[in-house]
Amino acid sequence: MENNKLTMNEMKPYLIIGFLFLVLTYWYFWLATIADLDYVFKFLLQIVQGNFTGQVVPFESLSHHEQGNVMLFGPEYESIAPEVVRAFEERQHLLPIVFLVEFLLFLTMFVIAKGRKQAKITNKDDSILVYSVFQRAVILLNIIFMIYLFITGFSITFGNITGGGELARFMRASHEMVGLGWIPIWFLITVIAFKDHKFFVRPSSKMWKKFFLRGKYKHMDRINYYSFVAFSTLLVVSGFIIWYIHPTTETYTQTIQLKRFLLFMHFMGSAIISFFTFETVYSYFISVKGYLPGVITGRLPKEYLEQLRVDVLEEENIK
Amino acid sequence: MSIDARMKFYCDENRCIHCDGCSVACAEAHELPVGVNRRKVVTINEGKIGLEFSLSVACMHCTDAPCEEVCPVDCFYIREDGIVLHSKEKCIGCAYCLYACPFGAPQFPEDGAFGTKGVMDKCTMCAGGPEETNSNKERELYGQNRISEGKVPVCAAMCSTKALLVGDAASVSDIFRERVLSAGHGVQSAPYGWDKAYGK
Repeated sequence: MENNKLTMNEMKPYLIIGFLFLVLTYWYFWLATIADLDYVFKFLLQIVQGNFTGQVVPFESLSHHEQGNVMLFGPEYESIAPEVVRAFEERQHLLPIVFLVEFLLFLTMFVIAKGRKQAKITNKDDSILVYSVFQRAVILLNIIFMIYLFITGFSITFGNITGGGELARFMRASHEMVGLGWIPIWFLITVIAFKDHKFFVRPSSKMWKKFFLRGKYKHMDRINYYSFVAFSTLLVVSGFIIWYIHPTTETYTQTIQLKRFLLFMHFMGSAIISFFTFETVYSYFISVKGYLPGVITGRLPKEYLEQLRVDVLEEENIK
Repeated sequence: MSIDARMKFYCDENRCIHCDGCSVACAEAHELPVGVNRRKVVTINEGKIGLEFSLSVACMHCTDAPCEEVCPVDCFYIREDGIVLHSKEKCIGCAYCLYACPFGAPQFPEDGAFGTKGVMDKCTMCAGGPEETNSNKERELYGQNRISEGKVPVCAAMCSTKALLVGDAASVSDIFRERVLSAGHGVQSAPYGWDKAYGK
C-alpha cells in the first residue's frame, strides 16, 4: 500500500491555503461584514435546534410593540437584511476586480512555471479507453450545467449591464431550473471523483471501473475535490431551499430571515467556488494541456497517459 | 419637494377590525391573480384580551426604498410624491427586493415551469406604472391608476372604520396626532413600520 503520509513540502500548499482562508474569513466576517454576527451565531444555534424563524430570543420576552413588529414584519430586520443589500451592491463593483486579481494570479503562476506542460503525441490512434459512457455523461453534464449556472447566476448579479427584460428574465428562471437539474449531477460527480480522497479504496470488482474515475489520490487534487464538495454543497443546499421556500402572506414572517441568511451564503459560496473552478480549469487545461476530446470519446492517447497521467496507465496495466 | 409632501400609508391598529375590505378591494380593483396579495391584514395576539389588534400591511413606499437600492436591473423608480413604482417589463423576478424589503411587500406569482417565479408585483398606491397613464397596457400590468384621476387608493377608500389612511406625510401625521390626543390615555408608540420606512 502506498504511503500517503504528508511531508512538510507537500503540506505547504495546505498551510498556505489554510492561512489565506483564515485571513479572508477574518476580513470578511469581522471587518467587511455589517451583519450582526452575534445574532447570526445565535440564529445558527437556533437552526440546529429546529427553529428556522430567526427569532432568537423568547417571543414572550419582547414588549407588546416589539411582538407586533415581529408578527407583522418578521424578526430582526436590521441584523441581516442590510448585509444582503450591501453585499449585493458591492458584488457588482467588486467581483470584476476579484476576477481580474485571480486572472493575474494564474498568469503569474503560468509565467513562473515557464508555460504549460504538454504531451508530445505522435500516434493519436494508439489510445486507451479511460472514461466509461456513464463517466463521460456525468463529467460533461457537470461542465455544461456549471457553466450555465455561472453565466445565468452572474447575469442576475450584473443585471445592471443587460438592463433586465425578457432574455434576462429567462436566464434567471432557467438558473433555478438548471440548478435543480444540477443536483443529481453534482451528487454523482462528488461520488465518482471520490478517488481524489485520501481514504478511497478502489473496489476490486470490474463493474466499479465504469463508475469511479481512474487515477490515484494526489495531494493537490484533494484541495480541489474538497473545495468542490464543500462549496458546491453550500450552493446546492442554499439554492434548493431558496427555490423551495416561497413565502406567502401567511408564511412570510417565519421564512424571510432564513431566506436572507441563505442568500448571503449562496453569494459567498458562488464567489469562492468560482476561484476553485478557475483553479481547476487552470490546472487541467492551461498549466497542463488537457485532452478534451478524450472526455468526449472516452479514449486518451497512450502517449498522453505515459507522459502526463502515469497513474491511470499503471492502473490500466494492473487490470 | 419637501419630505412632508411625500405620500404615506398609516394604519391605525386601534381602529382596524380585520374585515379584509382593503385587501379584497385591492385584489378586485387591480384584478390580481390568485396568490398575489398586494395588501394583507394581520391580527396579532388573537384571542388575548387587551392585547389583540389587527393591521393592514402593504408596500410602505419608503423614503430610501431598499428595494430600489438592491434591484440589479434598476426597475424601480420613485415619483416626486414619494410613490415607489417599478417596471414589470424590466423586472427579472430575482426576488432580491423581497430580501431587502422590511415589510414583505413584493409578491411573486409562481406561474413558471417547475414553480419558478414570475415578475414582481406590489402595491402601486393605485398609481399605475411607467406606461402611458391610464393606457390599456398600464391597467393590464399594474391595475388601476386612481391617483391620476385624483382619487384615493382603493384600500383606503374602502376602509369602513377609517383605520387605513393615505395622503401626504403632514396630513397623515396631523390625523395620527389628533387621534392620539383624543384617546387621552396610555402611551402611543409610533405607527408600525414608520421607523423602517421613513426613518426615526
